[in-house]
Amino acid sequence: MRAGRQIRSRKLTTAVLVAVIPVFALAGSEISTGYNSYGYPGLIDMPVATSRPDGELAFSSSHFAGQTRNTLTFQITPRLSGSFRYSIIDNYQGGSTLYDRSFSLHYRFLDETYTRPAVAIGFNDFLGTGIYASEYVVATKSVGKRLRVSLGMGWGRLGGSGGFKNPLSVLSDKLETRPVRNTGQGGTVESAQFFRGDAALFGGVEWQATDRLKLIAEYSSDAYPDESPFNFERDSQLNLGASYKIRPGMDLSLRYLYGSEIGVQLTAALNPKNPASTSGREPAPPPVLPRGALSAEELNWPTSEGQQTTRSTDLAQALRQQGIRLHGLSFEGSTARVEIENTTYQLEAQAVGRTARVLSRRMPTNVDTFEIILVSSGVPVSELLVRRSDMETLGDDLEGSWKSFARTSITSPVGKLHPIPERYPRFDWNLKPYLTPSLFDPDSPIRADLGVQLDATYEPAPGWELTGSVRKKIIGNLDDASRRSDSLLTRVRSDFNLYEQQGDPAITNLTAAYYFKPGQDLYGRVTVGYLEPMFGGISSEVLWKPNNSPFAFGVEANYVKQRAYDQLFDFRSYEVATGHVSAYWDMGNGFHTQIDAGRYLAGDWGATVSLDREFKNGWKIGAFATLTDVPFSTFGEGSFDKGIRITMPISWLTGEPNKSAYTTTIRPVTRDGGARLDVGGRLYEKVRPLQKPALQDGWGKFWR
Amino acid sequence: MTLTLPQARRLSATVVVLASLALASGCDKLTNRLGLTGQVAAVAPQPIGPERMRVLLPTRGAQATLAPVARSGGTTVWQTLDGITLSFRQGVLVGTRGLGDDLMTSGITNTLAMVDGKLDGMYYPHVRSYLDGEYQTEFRSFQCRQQARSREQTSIGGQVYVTRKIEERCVSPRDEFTNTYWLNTSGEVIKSRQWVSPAIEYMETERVQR
Repeated sequence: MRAGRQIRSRKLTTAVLVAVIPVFALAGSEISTGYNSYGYPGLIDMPVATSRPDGELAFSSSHFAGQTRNTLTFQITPRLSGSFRYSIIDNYQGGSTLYDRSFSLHYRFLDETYTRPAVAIGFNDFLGTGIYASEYVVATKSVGKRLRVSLGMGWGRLGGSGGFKNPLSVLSDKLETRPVRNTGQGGTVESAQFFRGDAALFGGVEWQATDRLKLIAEYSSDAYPDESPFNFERDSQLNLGASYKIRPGMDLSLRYLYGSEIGVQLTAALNPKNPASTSGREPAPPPVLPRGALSAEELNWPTSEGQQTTRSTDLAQALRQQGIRLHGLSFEGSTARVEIENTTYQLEAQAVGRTARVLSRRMPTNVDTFEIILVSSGVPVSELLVRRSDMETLGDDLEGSWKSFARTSITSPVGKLHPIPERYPRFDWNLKPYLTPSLFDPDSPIRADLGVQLDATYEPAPGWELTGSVRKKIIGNLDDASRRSDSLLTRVRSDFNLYEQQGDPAITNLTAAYYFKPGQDLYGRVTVGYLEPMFGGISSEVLWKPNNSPFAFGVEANYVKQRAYDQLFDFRSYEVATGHVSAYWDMGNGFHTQIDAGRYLAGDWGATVSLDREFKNGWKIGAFATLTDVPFSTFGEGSFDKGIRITMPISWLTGEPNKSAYTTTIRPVTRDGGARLDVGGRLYEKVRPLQKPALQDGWGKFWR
Repeated sequence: MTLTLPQARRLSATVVVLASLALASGCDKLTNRLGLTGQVAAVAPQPIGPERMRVLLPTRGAQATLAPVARSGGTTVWQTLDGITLSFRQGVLVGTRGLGDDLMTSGITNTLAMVDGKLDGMYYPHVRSYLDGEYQTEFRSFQCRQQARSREQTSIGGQVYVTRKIEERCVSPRDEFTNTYWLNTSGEVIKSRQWVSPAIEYMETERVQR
């Protein structure tokens, strides 16, 4: 009887274990989703339903049988990823080498649960020539902690092998056949093809053998219609692969493909959410000194003018050590009004916090309020009222960060600035290296110039800035580009090769600008001179941006003349009036959108839509597209102007404060339609980081 | 008086920058001259008292002697020569600045009560804050409890002291740590081993006797 009870209880334990294990398997799945040979979440050539971590930016390069695919993929939201791909295919359709650009989207619309797999839908190469055009629905379910199974149905290229009559044709007979693309110049969305024509099943198994090694087997439904048999023989639809994690974010994969070929892929990923250092490596801020600890000499008001000058010199010196420039200092009752320019910190909130700390150490004890005014280009943007007592008590408060934000009033200042005598005039210069890459020229997909750039700025009075930059190339091959523009429009951008060849040295810009604040929420700019490498003239802008509003509107009007190719002082004969009205919207959750409508450099009328995801640490990843009244056939290759842009803050890389960032714009093709003037000092990006929403996002660094 | 804190860490940062610059602009060892690093100067400490504290960060292989530079509301701020500050209240760490993965704030009311022997054996909550990868304040909460309390002879700078050794164990779903405090006969913390953050791990402190 005792034995019987033991057995029964053991059975019960087993039953409990069996019931528990799959739940654990779901919660603790240790399989990391990989990038397939097309660079989107997948197996080897086929997709999976799971996604990569939110925000991840990955570059993958895969190669097999004369085909190379270089893909940049961004996990735009936790569910949605987007990819841009540049493929080089030898013997395309048995002919010459094909250079092709394509986009992909992958959207996971169901998450995995105990009983249900994750399910995703995807679109490949839906723009333009569409050699990879395909759609799919795929389901992925984990079985245990280390095994995962995927099964999906593909259309288009993914319905090529083992295809059958489209099951969606029960809805409409039209779906039975996939229409031929009328690609023209490429670039347009070919939605008429979506989910039409034969469909086929694909699937695969992933086994996470160790933490670093993953083995994959898949059944591919891709027939490689344009690459096989020219590049390789398809003997089987079964692919086998192994993926090895070299270090976090870097994977090397080897594959045996289609029963005949060996393939290799290297993936390097980074996540903007993982900076070099979370709290930063900069030295500590000066400790707050409570008024009781200040020495007797600090107790006195500055009475004579001499004393006041000494005080502002001392303060300027103390702030300079913190990387902050004192712009103005005045006293009113028990308030010290301090104008500062942040030249160092990526987040203005940190500059404010350090300024308030310095003030707590240096202001007379009867000052109980610090009025800190954030100045940019001689224009006051935000005014923060920080109470001295809050600085003294909240520094050690567990919740001091949000408490001090809640107690700080932030408004848009009115009235004039009172610069200290030392502030103007001011001359700055700087010599630094520059790198200009050029991508996607079929003759040489990557070119670059490396050289030195001399920047100089002279500020004679508040709001006035005279700036110039000269570049001298040291080494590079941008001038090797021999393809001449075949544009049917005025060649406002497509002659870039001529500018690269003849501009050595080049004056990239030489301007006089005046910034002003015509109203509480209005900002203005007028810039004249050599505005950018290809155009010079006059540019004027007015921006309406209330301090605590997610919306802003702007108007920009320019009259410009095309510069000579040598980028010195001469002009060519082309002149144009160009300008835009712009609407800006901070949509929340880090997404920002902007619409610019107006007249572009080639005289075409239209609008640009852009969408960016901004991380609070300064990373920005976004895309833009411009449609104008230029017909696609006149525009040329690509049909319209579009691209993606990436901004990486230097501070993310170094872990030390720095305001500069590396920005790159990737355009599949540079042509003349929808080209906008590239004038420096546009107001929105000058004003926004100093306003309340950005200060709030950065307030964690107020006490750092 | 002072040794500078982690050069190794700074160097590795520089290496990262160099590697990235090598990618991004093809040259350059002069990140400082380029203004990429070193934009904020470390201000030399202006001690407000004669006491000194020696601090060791075993994971960084770094050691420094700190001087008090500010005191307010029971909190003392101690600073190294290269501009790192550590804040303590009655010997318990409440914040760090300049370590790279700083403890931003720490609620230690319960810990102080435990040290005073008022919470004998009871669990108590402990909350501290850090900055995450997007520089947002992130609170982490722990359940803590006095683990052990004993008499121990401990040596500091070659001198032997009779101390009370108190161990505090804290657990969260993500991290766990054991802080140890050595108190002298007047109840002051003269030596400790305290957990800072996941990247820094433990910090060892010793009051320098003069």
